[in-house]
Amino acid sequence: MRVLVVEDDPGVAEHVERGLGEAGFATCRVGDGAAALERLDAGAYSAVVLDRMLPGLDGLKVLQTLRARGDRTPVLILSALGELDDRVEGLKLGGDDYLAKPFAISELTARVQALTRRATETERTRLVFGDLEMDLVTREVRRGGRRADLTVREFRLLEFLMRNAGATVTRAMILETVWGYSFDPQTNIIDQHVRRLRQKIDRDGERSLIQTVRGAGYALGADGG
Amino acid sequence: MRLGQLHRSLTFRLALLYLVLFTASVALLLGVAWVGGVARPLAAVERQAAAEGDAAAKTYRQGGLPALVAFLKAPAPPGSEPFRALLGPGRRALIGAAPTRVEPAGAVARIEFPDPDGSGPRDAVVSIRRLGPDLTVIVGHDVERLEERADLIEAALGWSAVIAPTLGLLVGLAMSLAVSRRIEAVTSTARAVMAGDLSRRVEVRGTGDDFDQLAETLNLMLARIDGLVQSVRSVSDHVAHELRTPLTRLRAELEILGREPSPARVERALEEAERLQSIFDALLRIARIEAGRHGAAQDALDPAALLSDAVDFYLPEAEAKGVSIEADLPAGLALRGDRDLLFQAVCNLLDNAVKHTPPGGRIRVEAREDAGRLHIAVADTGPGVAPEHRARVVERFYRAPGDEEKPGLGLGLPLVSAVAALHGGTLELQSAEPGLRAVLRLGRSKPRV
Repeated sequence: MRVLVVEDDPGVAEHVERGLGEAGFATCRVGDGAAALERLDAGAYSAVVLDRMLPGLDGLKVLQTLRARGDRTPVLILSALGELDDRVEGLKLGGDDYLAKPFAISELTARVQALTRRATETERTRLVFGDLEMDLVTREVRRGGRRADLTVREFRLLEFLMRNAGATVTRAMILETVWGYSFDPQTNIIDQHVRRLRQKIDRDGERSLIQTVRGAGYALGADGG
Repeated sequence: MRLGQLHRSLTFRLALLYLVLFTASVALLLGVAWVGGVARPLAAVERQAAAEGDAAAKTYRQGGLPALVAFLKAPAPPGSEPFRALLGPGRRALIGAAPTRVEPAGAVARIEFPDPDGSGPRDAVVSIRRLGPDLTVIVGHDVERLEERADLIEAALGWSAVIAPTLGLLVGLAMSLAVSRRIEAVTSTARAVMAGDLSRRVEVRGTGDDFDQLAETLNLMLARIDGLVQSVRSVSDHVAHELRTPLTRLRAELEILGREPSPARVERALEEAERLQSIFDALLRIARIEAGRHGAAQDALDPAALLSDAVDFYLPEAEAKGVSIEADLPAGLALRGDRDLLFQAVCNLLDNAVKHTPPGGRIRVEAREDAGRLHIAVADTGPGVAPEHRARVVERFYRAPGDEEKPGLGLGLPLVSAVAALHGGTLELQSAEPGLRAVLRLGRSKPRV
């Protein structure tokens, strides 16, 4: 899968490219908006990492042009902490996700993975991971046939993890998707929710299905399942 | 102010304008006095003299000399000062006094005659009629008073032409100097402040005049700027101090790592970097909220839903600690504001409450509307904050005594306070007896549509 990195700062761009490379993405890098539009016109990319502030053509203009010509490639907007409504503006113009600088590279790769997955995913009524099954219609969760009673919030948390099975989701992504609030929690509160979920779906004496990814977040059995 | 700059002084220009107006009005006043007090009476006297001349001539023609003498000798009406003379051969005065000088002026003449009291010549406006070869009758009125009045007005005009400009110039000069001195005080203070002396203030004289009011307003503004700069300075001092510790540790870990690779050290170095990033993120976030250039977003919110989300978010953590959370959230409340920021603010309050409440304690979350404002209260049964520390816990990095060992950056309440301010509200810390009660009062809550 190829990701186009549109970033004028060579240091940040190199950092982003290395992180995405380690996560298994092929990357292409351009330094300004016009070149980005050219590349996107020429070839198909799985996702775009787009800096908000670019020389010449502004990042949001690039996004607008892209959407105006019917290109639905998932776009992650990067922005230096500037305005409170940056995020809202970026998402309104057709961005799929937003990340403020400075960011942890694990946060970026997790979000790009989620974006590419979201783009390829088709509507499903059932999620399965090993012997963990989730019925999205009856809202039933079973682990090896045994039914797990989850609260609404726990159900959504597990659904999010299952939809991104094998990939890391960060605490900020969980807060955004499961609670619908956007900010960096900077606390271990989400860990408590994950701990409860583990108690309900894990089997005694076995390694947890939900693994903690140090310094990043959680992943559903990256090495298991 | 130098004299060369006088013409640029607004006050001086105003004084000059005032002077011109003043002089013009004095001239106008004197002109009116001249017309009313001199010119018109004189014209009346001239008409009267001519009429009296006709009457005298007619009397002579009809009644001869005796009738004329009776006419001339008749008592004058009260208040008038008639001049009557009858000249015989050789212009000798038969009745009255002979004029010493005659100036014809149209139908009448202006004459000068010796004062009967002997105090110099007097002026009269008369009609002179020759009745025969050696007989001339002169009738008219003494105009000496009118003349005196005219002289007085002329003198007044002359004096005011000299005195008014001189006085005006002097007063203008004095006024410009006085005003420019007051302005100079403001200018020099502003320059000193620009040069970096933020403690300078404009002198207030205590007269309460408009310059004093201006000075007081400027001083208030300077005090506010001074306070802001001080707080920025103290924040940057704090930031420098708070960042030094993790940076030093990070550096030490990296230096050792350079010699002997160790995954545990990498982990610790990453933790320090994350801590640094957390501090930066929190500081930038607070700074952005405080700058609040665009004001708060205006999402229509259901405060009860937002608060129950926050309670739901913190419940596992609280329960793990043996702390219960109860919520009293009436339906039907409404609020406009930034959903994410308000959620984070409430989370920070809950975070503090959970952190400081001992096992077995209770946290109570309430929301209610009071006088058009939304009150959100988070009360705990922890140790609370002593009144003398309450004002300071909203300062960045401030940790109340005894709290230094608790996890946290000391940036939670400053953010809550900034979010409250962005929404036109306040954060107030009270005693929950025991424990702490944090009350957010937020702007106007509008009825739901």
